[in-house]
Amino acid sequence: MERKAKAKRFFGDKVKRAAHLLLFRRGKLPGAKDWELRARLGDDYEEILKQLNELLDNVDLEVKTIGSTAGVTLFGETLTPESRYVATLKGTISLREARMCGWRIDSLAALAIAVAYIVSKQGKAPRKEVEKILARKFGKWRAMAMTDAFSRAGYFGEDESGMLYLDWRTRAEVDLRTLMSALAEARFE
Amino acid sequence: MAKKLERAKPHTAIARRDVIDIVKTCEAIEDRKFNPFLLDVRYALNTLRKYFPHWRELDDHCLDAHALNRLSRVLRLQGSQLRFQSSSLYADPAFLEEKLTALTVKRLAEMFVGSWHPIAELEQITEPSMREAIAYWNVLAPVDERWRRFEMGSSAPPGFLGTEDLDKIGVQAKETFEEALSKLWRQLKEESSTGVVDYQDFICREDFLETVERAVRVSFLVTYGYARMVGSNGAVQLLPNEERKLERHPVSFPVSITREVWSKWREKRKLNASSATK
Repeated sequence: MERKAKAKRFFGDKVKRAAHLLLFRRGKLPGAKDWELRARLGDDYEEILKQLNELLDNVDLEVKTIGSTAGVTLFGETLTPESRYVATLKGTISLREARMCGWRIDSLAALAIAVAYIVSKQGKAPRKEVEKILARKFGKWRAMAMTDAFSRAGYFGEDESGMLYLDWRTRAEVDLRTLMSALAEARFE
Repeated sequence: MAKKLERAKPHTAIARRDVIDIVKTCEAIEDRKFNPFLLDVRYALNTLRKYFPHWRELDDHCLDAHALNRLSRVLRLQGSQLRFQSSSLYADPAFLEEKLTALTVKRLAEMFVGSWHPIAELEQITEPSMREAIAYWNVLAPVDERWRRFEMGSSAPPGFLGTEDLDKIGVQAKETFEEALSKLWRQLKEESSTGVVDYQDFICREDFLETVERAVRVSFLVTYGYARMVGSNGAVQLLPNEERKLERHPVSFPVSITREVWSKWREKRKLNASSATK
């Protein structure tokens, strides 16, 4: 007689360890790489992450995977096999909560403008153009400072020819489809 | 027949120029300056095909291969643009630009927050941060000693603060940082029109704080590509750029300004000024 399908295992300790790896920052970037998770949790790490995801769901968090390449991974361009797992907020937060997390409304608006502009240019746009469009709302020097800050935070990367692209943090945190739809539906004020 | 062929053979210089034009157009498209569909790839390929039998030199063959390679990249961009346009992420850049300019900052921030799922992470204590904390704790004076410093005794009655005072204590600036940078850039351009601008002379002022402020502002001008620093005979010169020009490979150049360094610079500046008047 055929053996019954594998019984579902619950990895209690390993789920805790996975949570520690994903939530506590150890290096420059948050989260953990797939090889790191395999080394610490074993070959079943994807199953463990699934169980962790179910637990995190109760507190409005989820585990996401992002390509860790420094290049562009959107729109079918190069993607490295190495991935990074991070825990992100599943839902969204209000503007007030965002302010309490230390974000200024100006910075959020500038990030929205820059991300939307780069997406409309198929994932890559000259830095000068991004700064120019930001400068219309925030002034020249602030536009430059904000572009630098977003690049340092990992939202944008810059290649040798001065082109900005969406980097790992934007890929992890921003739902581009929702943002672009919201902008498309927005009425002129 | 041979004559006919000779007549059909294009002039090499014209052929090269045509191929270089194709390469340049492809490069501009890759830099997102033009729409990829602006280039008629079929026409460009026919041009390459027309000239290919006439190439004799290795350089020309290399140029031909280079152009073909660039054309293939443009084709790839055309493909990705078609995929992109058929996706829900597509938005006409010009229309979007207009919309982004018209929407208020608050509305934009709300839209962004609606599509934003920030990463959840916690900072944790590491060995270096612990060491730093212990070092800080060891040099920290006891609370009663620290409070003693604030016991002022009897003091003057409260008064009013003017704009000058607010500017001095950094509560309200008389001019914004942006205005200050623009002013400094104009000043640098004016001074450089009369001769070479020495870095030390330019930033050094009678007041130490003002000197440091000028050094910080100059560092912003250089970082943002509005001026550049050039070393010559052991001195550093400042050259203004007519318009913003970012360095491809920027290099860090730390300048340490202590009170001793500043007083030396000030002496030197005074000497230079007196010799100039003589």
